Amino acid sequence: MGSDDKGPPATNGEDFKFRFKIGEDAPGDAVYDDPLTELVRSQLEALLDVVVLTRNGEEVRGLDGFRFMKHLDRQYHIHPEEQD
Amino acid sequence: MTAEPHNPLSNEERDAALRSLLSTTLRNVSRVAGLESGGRPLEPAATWFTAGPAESMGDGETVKVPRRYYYPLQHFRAEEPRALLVHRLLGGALRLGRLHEEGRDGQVTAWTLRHLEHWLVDEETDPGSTLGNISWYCKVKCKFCYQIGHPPELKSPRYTTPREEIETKIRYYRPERKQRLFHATNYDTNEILTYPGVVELMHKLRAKTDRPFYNITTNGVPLTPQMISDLKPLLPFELGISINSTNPGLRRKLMRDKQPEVAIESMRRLREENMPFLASIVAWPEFTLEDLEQTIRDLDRIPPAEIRVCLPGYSKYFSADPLFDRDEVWQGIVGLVRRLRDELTVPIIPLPSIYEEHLHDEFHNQPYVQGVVPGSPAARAGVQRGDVVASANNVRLPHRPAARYALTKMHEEGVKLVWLKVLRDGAETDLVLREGSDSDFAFPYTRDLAVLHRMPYGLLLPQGLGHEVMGQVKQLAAHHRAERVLILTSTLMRRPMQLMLDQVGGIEGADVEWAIPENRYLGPNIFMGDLLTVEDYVNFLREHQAAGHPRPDLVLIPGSAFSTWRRDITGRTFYEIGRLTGLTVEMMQVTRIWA
Repeated sequence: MGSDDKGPPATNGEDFKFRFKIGEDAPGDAVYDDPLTELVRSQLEALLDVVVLTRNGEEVRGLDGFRFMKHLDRQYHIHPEEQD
Repeated sequence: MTAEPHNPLSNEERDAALRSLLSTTLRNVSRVAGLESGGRPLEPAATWFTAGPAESMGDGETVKVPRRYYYPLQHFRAEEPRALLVHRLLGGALRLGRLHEEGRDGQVTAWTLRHLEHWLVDEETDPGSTLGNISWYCKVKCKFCYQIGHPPELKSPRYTTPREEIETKIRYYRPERKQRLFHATNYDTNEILTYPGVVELMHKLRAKTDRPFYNITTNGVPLTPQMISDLKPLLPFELGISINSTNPGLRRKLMRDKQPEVAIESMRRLREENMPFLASIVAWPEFTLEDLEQTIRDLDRIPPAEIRVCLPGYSKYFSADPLFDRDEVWQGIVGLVRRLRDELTVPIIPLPSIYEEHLHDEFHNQPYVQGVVPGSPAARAGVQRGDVVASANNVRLPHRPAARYALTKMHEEGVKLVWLKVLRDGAETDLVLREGSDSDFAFPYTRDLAVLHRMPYGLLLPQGLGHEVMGQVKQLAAHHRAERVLILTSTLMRRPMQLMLDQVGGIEGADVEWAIPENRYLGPNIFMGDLLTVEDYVNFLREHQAAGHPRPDLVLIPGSAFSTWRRDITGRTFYEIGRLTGLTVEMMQVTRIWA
């Protein structure tokens, strides 16, 4: 989204600012009401879009949920399409 | 939105945990990202973060945002998704809390990459890619331009690469350490040689390395005599001219080229200046086969090092209705190329090159010579198109990847004399390739161009499937103890792959099923597997299972549709296929065939 059509702006020898607008490509709709749960979920989702976790050198695939250690009986989905 | 039936933490615990998690996130993100409020940098040391209502944050309601360049995030999807991760972590945190700066709300409106040296990537690459997305407006408007058919989400926002960005990328290019700034993919690249100050920028890059630049592609319009003289001191580089037609009237009509003589004449001038180039032709049916033939004949009289004839295609976004019968058009073009090859010396390669073999059932993975660059050591040694390379300097070369690898390596390492044994008409013939001095070759061959374009000594050798791919297939099947393996491939690659798997004895103890997913993302006219998406694979596998096919223990998918970050052209990761289908899915490392 260039700011004009006249040409690239003049350079002054400083590093170009790779600048991103907050709000663009925003995180998807929240899956959980609880902000903490949602923050954990969205961070895991974002991380699993970039890294593959491993165990003993083997990739651990298909991770799709998490639990808080204090309440292991409650399961949360990581990906929105898997929500109940 | 899912409401929890009960909350596992007390309110106090939740608030404390939330504050801690948000602060940690912001602190970590601030190490790689600079935060801005309305164009003013926010100093992390002077800011603090509290959990609070999201409404006042990050939505540009109160802070005036100056007009400025924002970088399209989508350029990062395929090649540098860590920038997307930062963006998402930051966006998620700002949705849940607020930043304060010196007693007031510091509304974050943008973020920037902090410390660019952290964003260098290790990669031995061609210096030209450092120029990144440098391109400016095309002075032509081709009726068949592939960009017309981009899906909406692949279309870039109107973004013209600022000169500052190019200069920064050149500054951070470190050829001695094989490092450069990340690559940001813009599918809407236009004409490089119309970029204001392009020659000056290329000189800056040339000052950092004497390595050849790869792939400067132009439609020929900017190749005025002045531009050619300006470019000459920048050699070596690969220049590709999308000439499409040498008929001025057709260039005017189908490319909207107002001065077709400039591009057509430029090729003769390049020859006078001893600047080799490659020519490409999009064989769009409206050019007609007669024009294609005339264009190829005109080019042969110059000649380029190679003529690439791109078999025409279009996505469903280009036209939802069929524009022509693809098979009929492609077969007609290949038939013409095969006839002209018997008469002309310039190598003519229809792309994708494997289509010709598919059409004529010629894939046997033999290292046959597709073409010989005129004036090259191979041409002078008497190598002919169709010769099958048997050995080089007494090293046996049993199949394509072996021949291509060995000869390319010898050439790159500067081996000046190669004893080549070829099979011709069933008999062995000995030939000698010499590249000891400049007198061993002539236009349009140069050593630099040949190294750049992997035409060792002027030999055009087809890509093939390495036996290591089939070794990998067997290894993956054994690792997963698979008794039923589903291999997904494409129309063009199915037969070669099956042939090669048969050659290595198949997969022991496993039934193999082959299948070809449909490209629904780009439409049925696109049938090369390299352009399939995660969604295409997921749809296919779900429907395959729903149709009652036995569940495979292992699904193998070619890696050619995915970037080094394992992302398809839409930016989705390969790993989603397994997660969304519940199947065990692995990637086969195979080479792209469309390039």
